[in-house]
Amino acid sequence: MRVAIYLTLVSAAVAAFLWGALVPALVLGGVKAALVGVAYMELHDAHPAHRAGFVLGVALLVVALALVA
Amino acid sequence: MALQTAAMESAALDGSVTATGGRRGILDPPGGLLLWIVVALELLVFAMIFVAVAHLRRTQGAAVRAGQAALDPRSGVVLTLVLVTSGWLAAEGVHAFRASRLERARACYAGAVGTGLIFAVLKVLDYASKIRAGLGLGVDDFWDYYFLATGFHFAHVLVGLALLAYAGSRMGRARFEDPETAVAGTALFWHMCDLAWFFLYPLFYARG
Repeated sequence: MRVAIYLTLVSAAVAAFLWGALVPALVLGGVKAALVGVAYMELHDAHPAHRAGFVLGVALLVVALALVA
Repeated sequence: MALQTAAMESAALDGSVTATGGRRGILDPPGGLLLWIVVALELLVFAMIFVAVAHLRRTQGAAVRAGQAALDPRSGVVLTLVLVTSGWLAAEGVHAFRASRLERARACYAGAVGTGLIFAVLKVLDYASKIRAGLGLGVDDFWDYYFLATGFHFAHVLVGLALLAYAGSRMGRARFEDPETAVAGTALFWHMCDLAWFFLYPLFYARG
């Protein structure tokens, strides 16, 4: 599972580089952040409110950055 | 004896995770409440920096494009891959420690520190090359933001590396007063550095 997450993170990083544009890279950054939070920072094992709050926070950040930039 | 102590600590750490049957209370996040408060506050500061950089991209497009011409996106993605690899190794180390596989845990933490050091060296070389080219604080807003934002992140990387190295060096050799914070907490701080970089990379390197 952790290896699969790692390979997904690597793929997302390479995809952001190949795409080159800001908004797709921000969205992929958000996906990577959510994956790291849930899998590596172990929010999958946390109280559901922590997990939901983290993912919601990341999504809001991506939207805010896309709008401001 | 030390290994036995560490194995007991490891079991205790594992027990703290499963004590609630895999469902933690709202004041008991993985890695410890105090570390999560620190991480949340740090991520809030990073988020404000990200918004400031995004605003710079909108209001000073010409300066940003000129600055980005001196940044190589390939080096940016290499830094991302190095940091992602380090984070994965730290996560593997935590799980190995909990399973009382101390040799593997130490090896994973050593790998995490090693790849983290590669990131740090690459950033130092990046800063040095920019400064040699006459690009630094005071040149224009883009370079002010670049050095302050990535420098703030770099400071966190150095602290995270020190924490990982300390925790990794004590695994199986000395007793942790609080194994959850010592192992999972240090990894938690390190993953925060990953998260911040995931947004610094597009904000500074993405051209579109």
